[in-house]
Amino acid sequence: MNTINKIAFVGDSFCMNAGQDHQGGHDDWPGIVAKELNAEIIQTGFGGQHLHRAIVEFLPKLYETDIIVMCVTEPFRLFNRHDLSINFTWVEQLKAKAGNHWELRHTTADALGMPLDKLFEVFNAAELYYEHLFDSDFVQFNNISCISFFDNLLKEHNKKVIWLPCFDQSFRLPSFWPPGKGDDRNKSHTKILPIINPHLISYNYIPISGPSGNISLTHLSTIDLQMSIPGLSEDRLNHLLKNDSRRNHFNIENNHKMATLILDIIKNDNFSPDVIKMEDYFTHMSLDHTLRVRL
Amino acid sequence: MKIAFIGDSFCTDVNRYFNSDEIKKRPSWLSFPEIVAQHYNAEVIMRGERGIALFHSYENLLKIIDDADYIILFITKEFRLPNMHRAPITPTNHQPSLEISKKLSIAATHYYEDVISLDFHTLVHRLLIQEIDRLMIEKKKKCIWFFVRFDNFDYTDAYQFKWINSGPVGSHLLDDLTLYDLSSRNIIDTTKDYAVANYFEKYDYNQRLNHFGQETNQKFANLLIDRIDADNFTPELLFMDSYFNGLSSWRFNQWRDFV
Repeated sequence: MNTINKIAFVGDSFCMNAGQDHQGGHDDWPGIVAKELNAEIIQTGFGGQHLHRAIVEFLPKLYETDIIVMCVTEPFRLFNRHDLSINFTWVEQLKAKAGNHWELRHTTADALGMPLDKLFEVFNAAELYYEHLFDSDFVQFNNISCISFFDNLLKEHNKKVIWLPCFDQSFRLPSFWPPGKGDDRNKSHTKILPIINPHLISYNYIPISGPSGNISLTHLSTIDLQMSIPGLSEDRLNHLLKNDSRRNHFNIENNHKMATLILDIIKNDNFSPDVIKMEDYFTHMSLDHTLRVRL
Repeated sequence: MKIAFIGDSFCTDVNRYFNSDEIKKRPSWLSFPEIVAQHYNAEVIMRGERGIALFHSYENLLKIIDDADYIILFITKEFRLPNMHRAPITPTNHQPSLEISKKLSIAATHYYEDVISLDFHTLVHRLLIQEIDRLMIEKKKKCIWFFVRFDNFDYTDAYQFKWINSGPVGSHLLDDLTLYDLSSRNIIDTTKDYAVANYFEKYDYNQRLNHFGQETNQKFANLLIDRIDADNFTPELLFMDSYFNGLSSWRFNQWRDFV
C-alpha cells in the first residue's frame, strides 16, 4: 500500500463526524480510518449538505488528496445561496416547530451570520418551492449530472475514490433516462450506465472512477437502529431517524464495520469500479431483501 | 424529412396555421421554421415553448431525439426556473398570467428573492449543455446551436463553449439579433436603450415572429437552409454576419471568436 497522507470524506451527515471532538476516542468510521492510515483528514461531511456544495468545497483540494470517500446524498435538497442545509425534513421541522432543526434554529442562524427572521424568510421560500415548484426529474438530473461530472474528473486524474450511496435515490436516474426507445434504453452509455435493479425496476448511475456500494447507508442505519432498540413503532423509528444522535447515523459497532470496509479497499489497493457488497461486512444484519442500488 | 426546433420563444412560432386561435392577430407571413419546413417539404416535430427553462427544452429533445433528422437548438438563459408545471418562470417575468397561477408566482418570487444561487444555476446550465452536446454526438445527430444570451457568464468564460463538439454554433447571441432586427428597421435606437424585454413586449405580438421581423425570419431561414444543403455540421463558428449585414459591428455583443 502506498503512503496515504491525506484523505477526504466528501458528503453529508453520514461522514460528518471524524473523531475530532469525540471524548471516547475515534469511534466513528472516518476517524478510525484516518487513525489507522495515519492520514490527515482534509474534508468531512456536513449535515444536510447538498452534493454540489460538497464537491465545490472539495475541488481545490483535488490534487493533494490521496483517498476520497464519496458519501452521495439524496438529490432532493434545495441548493441556496446561504449555505443552509435545506431538505424536506428541515422544512417539515421548522413548520412543525419541533425536532432537531427547530431546536437548532438559533445556532444555525448564528453560524451563518443570518438574522433569525431571515432564516424564516428562507424557510418560507423553501416551503413554497417544495409545494409549488419542485420538479423531481430536474433535481435528479442535476444530481446525476453533478456525479457524472465529478466521476469523470476523478477518473481523468487517476484519483482513488470509494463511492457510497447514502440513500436509495443517491444514484437514481430521472424517469426519462436513458433517452431512446426499446433496446436503446438498455445500451450502456459511455458515462451513464443503467442497470435494472432486481428489487425495484429503476435505473441507477454506476460510477466509473472507483468501487461503489450496493446498499444505501440509510438502510444500514435504519437496521442499526431497529437492532439497537427492538420493537420500535414506525412513527418512533422515523422520529429517531430524523433526530439522530448517533455518530454518522451508526452505533459504535457499525462505525467499526464501516471503517473495516473502507480500510479493506484501501489496503488491498482495489479501486476498480466494481460493486462493494455491503452485506459482506454487515453480516449481523438481515439484508437479503434489502434494496440494491447496483449489482 | 423531420426537423425539431428545441428551445424557447425564439423558435415557438411554428405551424401556426394548424391552430386558428393562435394566429388571429399574428403576422401572416412565414416564420423561419415554417420557411425551412416548406423548403424541404419537411415535418416540424418539435417547436419551442415560450419562457421555459433549458431543462424542459431538454425534456422535449428527449421525446424526439430518435425521430429527428435535423435538430436546431436554441439555448436559453440560465436563471429560468424548471418546475413541476413546466411554467415559464424567469427572473423578470413570473407574474400571475394565463400560464402562471398566483400561488406559483408567489413561490417563484420568494425563490428568486430568498433562495437562488446564481453560481448554482450557472453550473447546472453548463452541465446540461454538456449533456445535450454529448447526447447529440452519441445519437449522431445533425444539429445547429444558437445561444440566446447568458445571465451570468462573462464573455471570457463563454469562450470556453468551444467545447461544443456536436455541431456548428451561431456566432452571435439571439438577443442581440432581435435588437439588430429592430434597429435595422429603425424601430429603436439601441445605442440609447438596451432593455430587451421592453421591445419584446411592445413589438412582438403584432409585428414579429420568434422575436424577429419578416426579413430577419427569411434570412435566418436562408442561413439554416444553406447549412443543411451543404450538409456541413462540423463543430465550428457559424458566421451570422454574412446573412445580417452589419451584425459584426456589434462587437460588444459578439461572444465567441475563433479568428
